[in-house]
Amino acid sequence: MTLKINRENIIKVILLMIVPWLFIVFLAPLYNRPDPQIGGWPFLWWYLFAWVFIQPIITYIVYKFIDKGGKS
Amino acid sequence: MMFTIVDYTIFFVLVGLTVVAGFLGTKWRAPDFSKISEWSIGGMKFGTVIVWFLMGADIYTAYTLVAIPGSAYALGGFILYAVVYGSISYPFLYIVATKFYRIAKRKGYITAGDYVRDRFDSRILSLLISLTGIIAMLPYIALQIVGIRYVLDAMGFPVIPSYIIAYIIVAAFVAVSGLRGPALSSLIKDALIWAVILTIIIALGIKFAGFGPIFSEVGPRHYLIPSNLILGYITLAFASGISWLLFPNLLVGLLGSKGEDIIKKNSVFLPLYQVWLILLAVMGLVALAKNLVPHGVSSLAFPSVISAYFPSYFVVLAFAAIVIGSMVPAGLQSLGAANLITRNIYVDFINRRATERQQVFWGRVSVFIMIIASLIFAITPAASGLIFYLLTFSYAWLLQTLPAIILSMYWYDLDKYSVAAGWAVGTAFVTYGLATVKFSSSLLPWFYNIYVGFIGLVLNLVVMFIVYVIIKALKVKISSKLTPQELM
Repeated sequence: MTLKINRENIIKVILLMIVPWLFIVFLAPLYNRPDPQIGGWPFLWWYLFAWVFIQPIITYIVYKFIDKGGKS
Repeated sequence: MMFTIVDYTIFFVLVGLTVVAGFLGTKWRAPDFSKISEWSIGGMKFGTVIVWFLMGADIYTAYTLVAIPGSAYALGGFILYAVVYGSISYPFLYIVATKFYRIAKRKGYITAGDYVRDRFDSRILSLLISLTGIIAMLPYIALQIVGIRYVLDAMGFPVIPSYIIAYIIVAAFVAVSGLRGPALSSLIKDALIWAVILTIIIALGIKFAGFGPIFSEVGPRHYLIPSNLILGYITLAFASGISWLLFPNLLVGLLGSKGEDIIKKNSVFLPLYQVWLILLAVMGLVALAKNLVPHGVSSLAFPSVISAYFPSYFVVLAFAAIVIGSMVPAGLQSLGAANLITRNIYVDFINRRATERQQVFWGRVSVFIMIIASLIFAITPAASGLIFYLLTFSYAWLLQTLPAIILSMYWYDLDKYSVAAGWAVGTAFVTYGLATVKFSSSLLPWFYNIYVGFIGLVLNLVVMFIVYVIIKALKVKISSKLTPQELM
């Protein structure tokens, strides 16, 4: 195996793979619900809309603070 | 709807500008087209902004504009799987695409086939992987072509001659400019689609009080995911979300980047396009709530909503967006496949001493081959009905190349026998599974409605692991032209 098992790689795998897979794929049976609504939007729809923005913020955190983006 | 001379002028100016941009690509940043990488992947020179537009054009096509509202209209909440797989694809690319990019740049690879050939020291395995990619692009391009049919009909153009003229022009600008052509024209394509979608949503959002009433009108039975399809939803979203690196058309965009940092930044900023998908799905719900679609033909959901609420000059803007949104991606898809034909069939099997100039020449010829083959597909009545089936087919097939392209970057002593055996079983299962449902769906009703490609991949990995253990036990000699250091 050429994968370096170190703390940074583990955090990256958690934030870029495990977290999105869990919250927006595998938890589908839990978020597939009409309530609570926001502005008439069912939970299912606004939850996934929110994740369109949440995941890029998480990715940005990885880029900036773990990979020291732009410098390395 | 009747269109005025002004409307036709707007339409032709926008489509014309995109084509001009495609041809101007040949002069952009002084390319040296005696080098294959300059033509095929733009010399790996694009920065964050260009890659953002280019990948946007690659991923969000006319098919997206038509299919997402159509599926939201017909299927309801299930279509959100498309939002989900996009959202998990970008962070995954952050990890795997940067690694592939690093290896490709170090070794001068242009296609996934190039990598597989060296990684496993096997031209045959590379050929299998490359053929999967080439075959997958055919129905994809054909789908872009038939996607503009409604627009052609509505504007009174003859369908088949228009297809031929439009896509031969696409083949011409891609052949002339290489990746630079679609890259430059993608600026117009994405800007126009952003403008069209945001205008529609703001106007309709005001009209329908933020869409709350629309959701109540269609009701939870329609806007939620049906509980019997939830496993299908999860497996389809997951399997699609880990497959983007395997698409030849997406790979050309990624390899066009100037550096790894560009790919990382884009996995932060590209997800902004996902907003389109949610808004387009809401448009499908509007079409249903207001009963706008003639005869319930779901593919007409998007044009029906626009025609119902907007003046004709805006309708032609949306129509131009559909046409451009099909031409630019078709260019990238034909380029992705042409690179495979050139590098992994022509160079590896026909002319092993091919010069860079010969490769550029055959790349250009291959673009025409791909476009003409797709046109034949789209035009032949017997074949055009098959396009949608072939597409489900080819996505599930492409997924079976995941161990060869992605796993092999991390698992150094993975050998060609294990990968080939897994690939064969996965591909055979996918083909069989789809045959059992007569290619009508990619979810298997006889297996909890799970996505056929996902089951194929699980079988693929199981077989791969069993063969791997046997190969280890027998101490079969394995070889690779890449050292572990070169895979870092």
